[in-house]
Amino acid sequence: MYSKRSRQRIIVNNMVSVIMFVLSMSSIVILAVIIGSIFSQGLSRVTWDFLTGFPSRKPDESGILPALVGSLIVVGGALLMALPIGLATAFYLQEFAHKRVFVETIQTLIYNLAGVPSIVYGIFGSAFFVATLKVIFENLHMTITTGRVLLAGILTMSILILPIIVVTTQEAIKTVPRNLKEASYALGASRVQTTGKITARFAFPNILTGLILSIARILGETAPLLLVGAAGFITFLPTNLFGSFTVLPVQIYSWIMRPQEAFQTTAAAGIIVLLLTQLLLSGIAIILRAVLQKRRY
Amino acid sequence: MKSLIEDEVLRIEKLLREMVDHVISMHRDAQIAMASKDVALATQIIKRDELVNNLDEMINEQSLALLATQAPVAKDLRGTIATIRMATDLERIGDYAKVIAESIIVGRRVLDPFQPYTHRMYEVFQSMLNESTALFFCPDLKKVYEIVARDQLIDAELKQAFAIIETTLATADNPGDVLNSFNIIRTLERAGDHAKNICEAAIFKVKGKKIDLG
Amino acid sequence: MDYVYEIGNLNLRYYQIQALRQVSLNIGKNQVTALIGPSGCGKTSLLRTLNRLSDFIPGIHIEGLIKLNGEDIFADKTDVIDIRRRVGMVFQKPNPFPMSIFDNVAYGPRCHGIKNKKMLNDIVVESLRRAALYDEVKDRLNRSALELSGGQQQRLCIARALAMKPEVLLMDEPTSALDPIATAKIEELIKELKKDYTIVIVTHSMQQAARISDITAFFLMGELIEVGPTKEFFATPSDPRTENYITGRFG
Repeated sequence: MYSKRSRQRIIVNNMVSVIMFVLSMSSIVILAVIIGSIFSQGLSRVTWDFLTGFPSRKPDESGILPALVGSLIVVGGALLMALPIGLATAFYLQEFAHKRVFVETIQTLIYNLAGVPSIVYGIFGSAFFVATLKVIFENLHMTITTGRVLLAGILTMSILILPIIVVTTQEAIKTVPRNLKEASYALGASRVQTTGKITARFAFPNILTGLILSIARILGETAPLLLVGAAGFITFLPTNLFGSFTVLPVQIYSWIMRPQEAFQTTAAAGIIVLLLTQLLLSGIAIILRAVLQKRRY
Repeated sequence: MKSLIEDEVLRIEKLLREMVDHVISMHRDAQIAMASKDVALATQIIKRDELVNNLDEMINEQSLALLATQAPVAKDLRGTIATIRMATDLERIGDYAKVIAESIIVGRRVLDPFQPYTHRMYEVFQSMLNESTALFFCPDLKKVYEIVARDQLIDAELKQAFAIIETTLATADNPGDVLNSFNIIRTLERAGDHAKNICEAAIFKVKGKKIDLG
Repeated sequence: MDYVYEIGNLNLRYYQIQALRQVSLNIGKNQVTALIGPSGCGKTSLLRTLNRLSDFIPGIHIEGLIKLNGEDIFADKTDVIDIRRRVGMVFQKPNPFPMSIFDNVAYGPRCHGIKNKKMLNDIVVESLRRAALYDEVKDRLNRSALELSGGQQQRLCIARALAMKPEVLLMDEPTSALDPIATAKIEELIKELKKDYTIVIVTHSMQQAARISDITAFFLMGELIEVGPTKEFFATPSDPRTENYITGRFG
């Protein structure tokens, strides 16, 4: 009686395994196709000149350096601003705040923010940061006439990733076992000491997750940065906080929008650079996280 | 809901009750056999003593097992220890019935001057035995004192019997029977002591310690 | 008899759950006091109030008095950090920090400002000795604490608590997660430690309470039913509820 049923079960098991394998492979296949076509189109254009050159009217002479530098600065700047605020918020909500109603209200607001489409951040950035900066520049009698500057881009991106950092950090803090914290308190450590020495230390690798997600997010943002001033054609390095800037996705977009066929190739090359930059930055963070997780004795 | 330990405790109690029943009827029979010189009855008594000894052994074994495996505390612990003590005393009391039965089988008798003593002593002893064993299963501390006091009656009878032993020795034709009579009297006195011990075991079961009963 | 703790009419409630009712109990100095009772009877809650770890129970509400060496531990002016320094705690499941053995034991002293390397070293060595662990780990103080066996980890937690030079050691079922040999080692250790410390231990095992404690207290549904010297407690308890519990007649 039993053997027949179990034979059926084995067949079903195998079938399901095969189906799931095919489905997983299909997503990899799709990805491979996309990347394959991009690479085949643009790889030839990824030369040292391309990486260190500036955009030009001529597609073959266009370079991606300003966009690359701009992206790196926006990522770095946004993290610099958002990390302290985000970490502090998360730790406060999880470890220090007492009033449940207060904590839950703030938490709900932040979770909702995490789901807001990026364009909304772009609109906000444009309406608030850009406008405010313009007013500030006028009052300080500076020569800059617009708020559509690098700083606005950095600020907009920082509030975009803030909810991500808060949420992932909170989750990281939650993974710290309660009994470790209890042991620390039982030894007479204060809340600050316990949070710093035990909670933060234990949660740190998982906090890096927030970092990884943020890097990926910022590198890929196009529309909001367009709205706050990212340009498609910059012939200088965007190192001035109060100057124009561009980022990789915007540069790629502007190339795609050109009619010449050669610019499509250039765009493809730009995409490859974007992907590689993404890989490099995230890769560093992921490896760091893995190393730290192993080192947790 | 019964627990494991309850089953074991009840099993051992059942054995103890069996032992009590045997010993009480052994002495009832012994008293009768003494009066009627019934050798057949006396033989039966001796056979029964073997049963009593077996029961004692079983009680000891099972109590040991209980102590080792169940780690009893409080009333279970006191009860187990008290049971072992009582079984020991009962086994002795059973032996005494055997001694009396043996004397009947070899043809010894209790001489007439001593018979009133042995009769009274046996009566008091049996009442002590019946009541102290009943008390073990239903402890009542007030009654204990009263039972223990009766042992003094037995001791008094012994002393009085002692007083007439010399004169009886001089006038008796069979010194063996004089000795036998006195042996029986001493045996009954010892039996009374052991019945008193059963009272002490009953107290230990409740209080966990020995109380001076005088 | 010196009383380290005087607990008077203690009521403990969190949200609507009454965990302790009118509990009054004195803990004697240099004695091992065992708290026993069925699950949920309040014995762990009581233990946690003794070092004010109860502060972390959400919705906690406490009435009554607990004096530690004469001082009210719930008074406004009481420094809770100081209480927790003077009263160490060991938990049911060994919970060493994911750090080296040395850093684990040195954690408490470092939190309290001791930085001098030599002092820390002395404290660590002495604490490990007192916890009967030093000989087993002296060559690997810098190795991770998580490499130790369960029994060793628990002794490490004891050493960690001892590093604060407490007066009292609270132990919450310290051996329930350990094998019999590790348990025996810790019970031996407790008997040694009571010469210098006052110990309060919560245990599910009555045999353990009977083996190692001087005073046993029985709790049922938040109430203290009976307390007394251990030998008498287990031989001739007064309250029938106590007798029913310790003889296993509890349905």
